[in-house]
Amino acid sequence: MTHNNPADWALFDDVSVDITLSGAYPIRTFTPPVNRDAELVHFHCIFSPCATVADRYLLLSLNIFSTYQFIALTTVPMPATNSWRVFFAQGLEQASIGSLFYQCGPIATRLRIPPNATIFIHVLNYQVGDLVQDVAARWNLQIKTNM
Amino acid sequence: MSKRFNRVAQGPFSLDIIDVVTPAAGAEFSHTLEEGYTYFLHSVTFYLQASVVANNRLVILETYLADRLLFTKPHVYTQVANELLLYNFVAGGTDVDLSAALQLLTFRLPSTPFIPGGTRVLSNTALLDVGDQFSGIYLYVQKWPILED
Repeated sequence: MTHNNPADWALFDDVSVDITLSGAYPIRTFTPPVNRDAELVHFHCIFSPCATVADRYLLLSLNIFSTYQFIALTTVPMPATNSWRVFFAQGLEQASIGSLFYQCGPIATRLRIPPNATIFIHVLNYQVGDLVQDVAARWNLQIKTNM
Repeated sequence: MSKRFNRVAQGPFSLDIIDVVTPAAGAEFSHTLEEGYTYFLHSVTFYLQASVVANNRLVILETYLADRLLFTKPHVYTQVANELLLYNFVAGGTDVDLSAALQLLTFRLPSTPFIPGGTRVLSNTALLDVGDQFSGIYLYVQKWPILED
C-alpha cells in the first residue's frame, strides 16, 4: 500500500543573490526536502524584472533520468520593473491579472518526483538585475514504494 | 473459470523514462506499453524538425488500446517549414505556445491518465512531409504491476 503523509511545507531561501546562469537562461534548482518521493503541490515566487525591457517568462521543469519535462510556466510576458507574483498549483487554471502583476497556472498533476530528481526554475529572456525571490514550494511527501 | 485481476494503481510501483525508437524521416512514432502493468502517463516529450516543404503540419497525440481510442490531444499549433519545436504533453498541464520565444509548445493531457499495458502511444500528423523528422521521444510513466487477486 502507498500511504501519503499530510502535506509538508518546505520554504526555500531567497534566491535573489543565488541565481546562476546556464547557457541562455538563468537557472535555480531545488529538490524535494527529504530523501523521499514527493509531489509538488504548489509553487510560489516573486519575480522582479529590472528596468531593461524584455519579455520574460518563468518556467519550472523537472530533470529526471537525464531528460527535461516542463511542469509549469507563465504565459504572459513580464516586461520590466514591476514585481510579479507567480503561483502554480495542481488543477489551477492558467490566468493572469496584468494590472495586479499576478500570474498563475497548473502544475502537472500527481507528478511523482524521486529524491534524486531536480526541479529547475528558468527565466526566459533573463536580464542582469532580474530577481527571483521568496521561492516557496509545498510538497506532498510519500513513503517510498519503488519496486 | 476466468481470472480476476487487480488493476488498481496502488502498492509498489516504478518510475520509468521510456526512450521511444526514433522513426525514419517522414514517419510517425509509436510505442506500445508493456503488458502486465497499469500506467500513469505523466508526460510525453519529443522534437519535430520540419523540412523545407511549406506544409502546415498539425501534430496530434493519440493513445489506442487495440482499435479503441482512449484519449487524444489535438493540435493547437501549426508547424511550418524549417521549424524545430519541442512538444511537451503533461498530465493536468496547460496549452501554451512559446514557439517564438523558446521553440516550445506545452499541452494538457487528462489530469489522471491511467492507461493499461498494451496501449499504443503515437503521433498522427496532418501534412507530415517525407523530410520531417521526429526525435528525442520520451514517455515519463509510473507503473504498477497487475496483481492476481
